[in-house]
Amino acid sequence: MKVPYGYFDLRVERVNDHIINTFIEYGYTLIAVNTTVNCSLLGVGNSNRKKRKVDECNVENKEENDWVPTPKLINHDNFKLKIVNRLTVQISNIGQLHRISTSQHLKSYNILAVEPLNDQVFQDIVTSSSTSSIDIITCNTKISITPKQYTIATEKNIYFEVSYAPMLANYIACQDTLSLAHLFHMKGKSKNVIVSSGAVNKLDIRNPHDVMNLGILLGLSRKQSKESITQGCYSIILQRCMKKKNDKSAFNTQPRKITS
Amino acid sequence: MVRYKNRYLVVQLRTLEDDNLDFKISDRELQITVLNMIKSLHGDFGAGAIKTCFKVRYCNPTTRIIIFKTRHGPHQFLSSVIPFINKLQEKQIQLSTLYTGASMFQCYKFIQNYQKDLVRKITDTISEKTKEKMLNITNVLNF
Repeated sequence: MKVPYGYFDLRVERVNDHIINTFIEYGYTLIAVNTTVNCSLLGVGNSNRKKRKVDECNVENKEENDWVPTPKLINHDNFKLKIVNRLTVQISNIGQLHRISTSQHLKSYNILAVEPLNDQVFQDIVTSSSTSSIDIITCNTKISITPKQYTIATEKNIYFEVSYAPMLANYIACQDTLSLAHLFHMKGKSKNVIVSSGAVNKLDIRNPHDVMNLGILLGLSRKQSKESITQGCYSIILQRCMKKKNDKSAFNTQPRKITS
Repeated sequence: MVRYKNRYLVVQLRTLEDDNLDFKISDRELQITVLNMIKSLHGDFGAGAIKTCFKVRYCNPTTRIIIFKTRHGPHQFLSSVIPFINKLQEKQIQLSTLYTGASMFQCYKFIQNYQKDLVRKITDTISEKTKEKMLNITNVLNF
């Protein structure tokens, strides 16, 4: 896969021609279309081994249906903008994540994001070693993070996400997002934070320069706010390529223009 | 003696319907909208810091390019508030920053290049009159 340099937006809820054109106009080079799966509504997914054994005897006969839907198909032919697929799973139990990771459709997604619904899951995600396939954690303010967990997550190259589209519409959501961003600053100096849009409408999309200025409001430094939409997202996608092929490293090559 | 620094923000206004040409922008209304937004986001401190030095310097209804002027320092309040402004005259709008300059002349040069690029892109589809209208960037340097 070819990964372009430039401005990224790793969460777009809906795509149509208007939205794609707006992204091109603003100079973005890569966007990720989001599909959200709420696992707590789909089933329990026990993490308890004893329980699972009992369940397996009962459930195995039943037809195993896939939790992960097929990614949204996007057909556009513009070489300026690249579109990838992203899956967000809301989990309340670590067992649900294991079930997701065995799914067949997961391979067709480029990015995997996890939204923990309670403290225990967050703890499990960060500490357990089997969760190396996670790229992004989407948090809400209800979850408490300790500085130690934050550093472990950053060492694992897991990124934390702040999306700005709900901020623009709603007064209360604005306060929540701000407090979440400042929580990241408190716990881990805002390392590994990316800013994404979460746009549903054409008017939710903002100029990359505006997003960078918004980053300063979110407690990021000038350098961090620039990296949050360029370098951070770039490394997420490279990492994903690396994990897919089971290689030890991934790199991107681009022809250099010689001007003389 | 240190020079008194200013910052000029070149901002473009967009509406939901692109061909809504009779949309009138007034300086006064814009100024009040932006100030209200600053007050709700940055509180009394932000509003107080920016009130004396904030001004809409230039406003072009056809190209929808606006220049805000502030003092260096509180310009951070202004630039962080701009993404949040989404209503003017009961209509959904969107402001997007194009350029931040330190003098009016630099902004003028930028706008000229920006408009020329735009005209070059759509030169086949527009008439001579609209072309002139788009390139007509007067009154920027009247200060």
